[in-house]
Amino acid sequence: MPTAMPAPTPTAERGDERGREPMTVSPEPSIRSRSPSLPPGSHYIGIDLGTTLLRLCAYHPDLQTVRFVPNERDKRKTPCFVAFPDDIELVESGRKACDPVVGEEAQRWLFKYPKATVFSWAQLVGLKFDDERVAFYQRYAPYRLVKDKYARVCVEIEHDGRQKHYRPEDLTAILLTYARQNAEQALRHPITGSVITVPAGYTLLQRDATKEAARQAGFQHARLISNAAAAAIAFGFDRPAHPTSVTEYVLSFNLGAAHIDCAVVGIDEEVFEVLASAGDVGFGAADVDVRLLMHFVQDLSKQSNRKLTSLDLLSLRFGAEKIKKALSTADSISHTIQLSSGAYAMTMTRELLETLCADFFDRCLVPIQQVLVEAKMDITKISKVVLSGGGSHFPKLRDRISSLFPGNHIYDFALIDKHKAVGYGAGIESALLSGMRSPNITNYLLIDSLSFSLGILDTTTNTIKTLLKRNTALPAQTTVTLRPIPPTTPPTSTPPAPIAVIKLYEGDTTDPKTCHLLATLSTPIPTQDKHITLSIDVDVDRTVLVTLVSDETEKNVRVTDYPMPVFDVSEDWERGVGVTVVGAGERKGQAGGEVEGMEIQD
Amino acid sequence: MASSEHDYYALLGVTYEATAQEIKKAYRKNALKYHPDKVGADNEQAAEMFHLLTLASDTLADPTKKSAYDTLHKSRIAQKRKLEQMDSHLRKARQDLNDRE
Repeated sequence: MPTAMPAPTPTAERGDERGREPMTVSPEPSIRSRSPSLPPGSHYIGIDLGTTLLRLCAYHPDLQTVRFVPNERDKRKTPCFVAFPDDIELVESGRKACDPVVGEEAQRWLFKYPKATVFSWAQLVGLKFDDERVAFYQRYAPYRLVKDKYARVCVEIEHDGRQKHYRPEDLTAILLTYARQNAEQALRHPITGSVITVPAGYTLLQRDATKEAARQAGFQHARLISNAAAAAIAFGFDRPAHPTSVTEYVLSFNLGAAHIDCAVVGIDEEVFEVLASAGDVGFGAADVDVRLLMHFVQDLSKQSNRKLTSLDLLSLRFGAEKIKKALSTADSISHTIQLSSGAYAMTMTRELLETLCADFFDRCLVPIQQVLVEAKMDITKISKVVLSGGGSHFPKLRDRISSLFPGNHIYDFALIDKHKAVGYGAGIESALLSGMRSPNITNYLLIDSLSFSLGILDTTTNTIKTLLKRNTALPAQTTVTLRPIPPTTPPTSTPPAPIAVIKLYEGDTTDPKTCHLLATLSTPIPTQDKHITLSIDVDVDRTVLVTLVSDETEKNVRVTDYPMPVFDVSEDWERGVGVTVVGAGERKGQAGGEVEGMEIQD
Repeated sequence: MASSEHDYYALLGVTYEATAQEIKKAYRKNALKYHPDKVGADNEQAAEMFHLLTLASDTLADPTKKSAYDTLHKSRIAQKRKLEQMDSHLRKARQDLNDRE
């Protein structure tokens, strides 16, 4: 905090707690206008952005429905691979030097440039380098993970003998640029908007990073919806004719490579309301590959002449993925993986796979129970369970889920493949945002909800007071009044102008250590008997706008601007009342003389 | 709360006896008219209305919040109930008349 706090201007400080070089967001007058919806006639595209695969889905005016858009190789799915081969190779293959290659072509470079070919980075988006998951991913990734100046994780690429750092969202941007160019070529018109599917458990920071990637890729507006919500929309269009007077409640479960998404969705005709959602980010079907991989490594260690190189680990990992897929339909499979020390032949049974993954299935069921409780939904009211995502093919998982719901509730898609359901849902949402109306898509609406609660720190108890609960429908708004508390002892010297410091958190516990600090806001307190009104607005695109009204000043601050620094929340806070109040010039210690603190009024 | 002066029942267009499911259904139906995806992101009036609808359905669909709201608006609700009953009497009378014809 600078010693001379410019008097009556509320600011949002986004630097670290101790205020070294705080990032000050100047309040903009235009901030009140809500998220940038694009002008009528703009084209949106639906993007199923998975960890391993990307699918594009767009409205087809002639067919009056949505269709998957093929890539330059005429494939309807693109592997999420970005490679940076040496310039000479690029020029030889007819490209510009320094251009990254994307998709199947990038996959081809994996074994030649293992340190310059990136895949499965989606799970790194918005993570701190110190996160325990980063160390885990590093063990199985051929590329190196490093720390950036915000202490977040970055990918180090070796290109032409030099090291370059890419944030996970930069890699996503490369992939999305490729996707947009492909779609523009196939659809023959510019595309400025996108509907991108993300895990339901993504935090605001992870969502912002994804939106930033979309911006970099040339999309002026990106609407993020959860995989589970997208699959529920696909269900709504796939389901047989349904009496319009009856509300249908579905449980949508999506198991991707690195996430579990779960949502209870209420459907009335064409209105889809996400009543509750939950997820497990960073845990998904790829964990089965890792279990298989560890099993192979153990098996190979029994053969004394085998030494595994990092490329061998890579081969084993992709071999494991193949075996896992095959075992969704077959009871057992024999497979040979080429390693540097020779061929490794093995036979794997589904039974053994299920034994290796027993606790995996248990963990898959946790979010299901959670959303049912949060939606206050009796299990008998759920008419259908919609399974989507590659991981939902496991017969064992299907059995476990269906045993939770008495009667046969698992829905089998009739018109679409269930692994394409998410892309299809994103396509429909994109058609609606493009303003398309057709006999198939008429008066449709998705009402999404907040994924995590938002609250402010109450320093009397050092707990977080929730202001907007998770699962609140979006757009959401709330207002709270902060009242100054007069000092118990009169000030000894001329008191400095007091400033209220308000800390906004995202998270579902009351412990600030386990929640994400979104922003620290400060505003001067004019006189003791004046209140401060704090309003939080979250729009449909989850842009959080905080308005502080004190005395005659009113200032708006958008707190989820990108890039967001990572905060250190471990610092012990001085005891204050309600909201911390510090006088100008003093960071710590007692409150400024005129006002002792602020309390939150209900 | 500032919005408590609003008549949530009228806002959603539900009767006093409406079940939680009926309330949620009415909410979704009304959302079509006021959701930013339908009316544009700049429509402040619609945004305010959508917010009120969310509040109304959250309050009335939750038994505890509903009874707190009802206590606060006892007189208005009594009036509304009377009207609703009158309505149903009127309907019944009309029905009887039709049946006789």
